[in-house]
Amino acid sequence: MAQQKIFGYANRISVKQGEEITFHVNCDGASEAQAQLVRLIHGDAHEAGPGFQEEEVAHPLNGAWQVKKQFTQLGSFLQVEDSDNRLAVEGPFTLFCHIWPTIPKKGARQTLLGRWDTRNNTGFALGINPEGYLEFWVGDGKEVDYVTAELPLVARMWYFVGASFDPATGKATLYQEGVANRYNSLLGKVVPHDYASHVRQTFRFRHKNVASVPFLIAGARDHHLLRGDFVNDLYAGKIDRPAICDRVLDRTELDACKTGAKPKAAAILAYWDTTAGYSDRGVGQTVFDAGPHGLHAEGVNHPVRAMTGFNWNGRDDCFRLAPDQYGGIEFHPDAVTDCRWDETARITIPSDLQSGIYAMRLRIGPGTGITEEYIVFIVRPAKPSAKLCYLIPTASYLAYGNESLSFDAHIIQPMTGQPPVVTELDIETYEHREYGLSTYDHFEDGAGVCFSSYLRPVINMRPKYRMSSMNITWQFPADLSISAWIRHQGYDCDFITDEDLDREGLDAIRPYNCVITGTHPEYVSERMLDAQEDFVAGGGRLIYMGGNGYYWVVGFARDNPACMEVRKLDSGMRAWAAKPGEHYLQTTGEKSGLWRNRGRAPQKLTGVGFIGEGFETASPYRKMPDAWHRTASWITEGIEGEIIGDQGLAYGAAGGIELDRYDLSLGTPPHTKIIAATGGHSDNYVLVTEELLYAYAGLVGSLDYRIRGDMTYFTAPNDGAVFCTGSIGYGQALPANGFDNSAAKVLANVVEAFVKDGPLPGTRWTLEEKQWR
Amino acid sequence: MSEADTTSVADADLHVRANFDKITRSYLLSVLSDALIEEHRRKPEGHHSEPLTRLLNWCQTRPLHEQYAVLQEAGGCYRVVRLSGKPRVPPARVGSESYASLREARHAVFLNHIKDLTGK
Ligand SMILES: [Fe+2]
Repeated sequence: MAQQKIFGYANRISVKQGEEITFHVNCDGASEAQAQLVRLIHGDAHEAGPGFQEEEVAHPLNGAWQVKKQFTQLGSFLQVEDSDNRLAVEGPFTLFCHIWPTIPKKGARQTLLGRWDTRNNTGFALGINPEGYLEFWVGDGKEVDYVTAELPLVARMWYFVGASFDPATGKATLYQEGVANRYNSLLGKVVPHDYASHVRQTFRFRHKNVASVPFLIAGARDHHLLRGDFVNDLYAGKIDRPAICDRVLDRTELDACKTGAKPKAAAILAYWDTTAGYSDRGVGQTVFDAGPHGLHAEGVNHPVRAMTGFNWNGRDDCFRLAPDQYGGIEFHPDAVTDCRWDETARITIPSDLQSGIYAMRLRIGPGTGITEEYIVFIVRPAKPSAKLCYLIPTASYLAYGNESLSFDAHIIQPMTGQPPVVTELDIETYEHREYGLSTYDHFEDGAGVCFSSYLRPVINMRPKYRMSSMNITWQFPADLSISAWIRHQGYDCDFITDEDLDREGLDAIRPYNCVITGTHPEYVSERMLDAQEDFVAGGGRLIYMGGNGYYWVVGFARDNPACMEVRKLDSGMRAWAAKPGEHYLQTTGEKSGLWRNRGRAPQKLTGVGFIGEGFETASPYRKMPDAWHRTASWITEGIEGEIIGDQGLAYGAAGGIELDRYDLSLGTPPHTKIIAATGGHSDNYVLVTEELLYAYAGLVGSLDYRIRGDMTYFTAPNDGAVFCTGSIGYGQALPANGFDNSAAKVLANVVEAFVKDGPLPGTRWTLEEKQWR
Repeated sequence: MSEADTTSVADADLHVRANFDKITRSYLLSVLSDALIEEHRRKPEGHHSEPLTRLLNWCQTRPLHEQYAVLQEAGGCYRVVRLSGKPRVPPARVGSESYASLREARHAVFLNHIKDLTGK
């Protein structure tokens, strides 16, 4: 029997009472799974907390589900819409494009463009052979003829490449020229490389066109007995302005195309203008054909656009300034943003199912480890009814989705100060890599991952999961500690997600008196940020429960909210750095990177922003003088002594992991009070890079007072207010000691005050507080 | 380093790294003691003496294929594994011991680094 394992995803991450949600499941070693709708109560088995807890929910669809093996198409490529088979050329033709290959010597064939069937050896294509040489080939189903360049391609250099073929004479001509300028490529002109190669050969065989074979860019048709047709021989690197002409272009004509000139219109069969379609709001997944037949191409698995092209001059650093220099589309054979699996089941969310965090639990065989799957989703109320709203940071879940830092990141052990603690699930996911990567990972060619989607299994967005590199819960399972506490307290609470906030803006949270965040809401779109700022300015109360929040500028494509984009750049604690000229989001047209670098440091909304991180110990908070201030003393009412949060599920205390600091120079509201602050952190805690102008020895926990988490409070117009914990670990401290601890007590004081209508406690003093301090 | 050490590598930076590592190892061997190992056993996290801090820094910054991790098995016990350093290649088991607590397993990882350092 095959190894048993089960993985799945849902078509939505947020669903309202009464709405439908579909599940897509891949299973090995079983044809039936036991499905059970569950409400997730607590996600961490840590002995200091309540342990893992779920509640089974009755639903007609609970029970046996038929499941099967499903296959995932990995790799990004372009699929050309050519239903009339206009590109099944029988006569002479020429293919060309500009390329910037990243792993030319991959040891496997890579297809640039063509109409090629790798299984049956029919058709024609231009590509790169396993040894890294440009190659053009044709096949008739039995025999294949190749013409190969004399020089291997050099990685990360721009080339203009092409091939023409005349079936009448059998003549095949290969064209390869380097087009590097001072900016666009890895190497400059001081390197004595020869990039050009021109080869002509007479083929014995002719290409055979088969109607069902598609014209693809960056991949070729393949077939597998169980799986059926799929795309293989995927290309890693950029392609700019690919084209096909219906005659042989001579050397002079191709020399002109090398500079970016279009061939004569009469010769063009298709010319995919990769620079078309840009606006100041970005660009979509359709690549427009400027040729006579409008054979547009559609991106699969998000080929990356808004990337520099062969003619990038190094001066215009955004497609909004010079779209004609942004024809580069980057392809990755290991990208996946939608598994496109068959639907396994669909359920309707009962209209009386309480808003909250749910999962469809699926079990096969022993029903543990990889034979158990939780497909998580958030149930929103059909109509808001509570005063408290838990904003689930799904954008940040996506960012971390399936991260494999423990296995791949050399930086992770010095960062966490401990060896990773991995499980069978981590190893299984890492070994197979069929469910895509996180924005903390790199593609096999070294490029950072900028898209992440939930239309694939996300193995770390489930209960019981601990982030292996840190051996604590992180993101989704950590946020269950907050919802467990809300439930323990008996607070009425509605749940919504980042996706809802991005789509609906302020309307999504306007009905609530108080919005409480997750432990690490790091990834934020402009609409999400605007909505929260307007909410607070309009009298809403915000509780920011984490650290390193409101940090990265992200975008969601309007037509596909399941997929988030981020580009990491300039400064900030970052897993990778976008290349020069590639700092703008293709989904929105905005500059990505840190909100701080766009004039919206997190301090402006919350009072605090990222200052340091460490991963092996945590510390409690100590009250600061403002804790006793008559406008704020209600926050720590009932706390004996000066210490807050000396227990917790994340390294034993509430103050730790990622820490945020009050900083007037970054826009902390001037009347903000520091209620308490952590301190005495170990030297595993380091200062964040965006604080660094000059680096010097001693930017660590025991030597730099700035490295601490600040618990802050300020009032906003119209009875609004913001309270921050300034630490990721705070949420995981709430369940300690049966929810009876000082961190939980402080938060209860705040939540209970924040959900009440009317003025906040302490505000009767504010008339005397015109001076603000 | 001498001419005898010359090998052809694609990245000459490796030569400099190897030299730095040689110097670091010889310092670490000069301070390595039972007391240092005991210091780690008692408290693997937080502040340490300077020699232990430097030793841990060396352990944690070794190339990926020389790094270890702890494998938590379904039954709850722990084993030491070594990372492959190669994409998609899972870690391999080191030794046959299993440990009842994470703390013991973490110390076992440390002892494996020491073994690599001393060659014993
Ligand atoms: Fe983060």
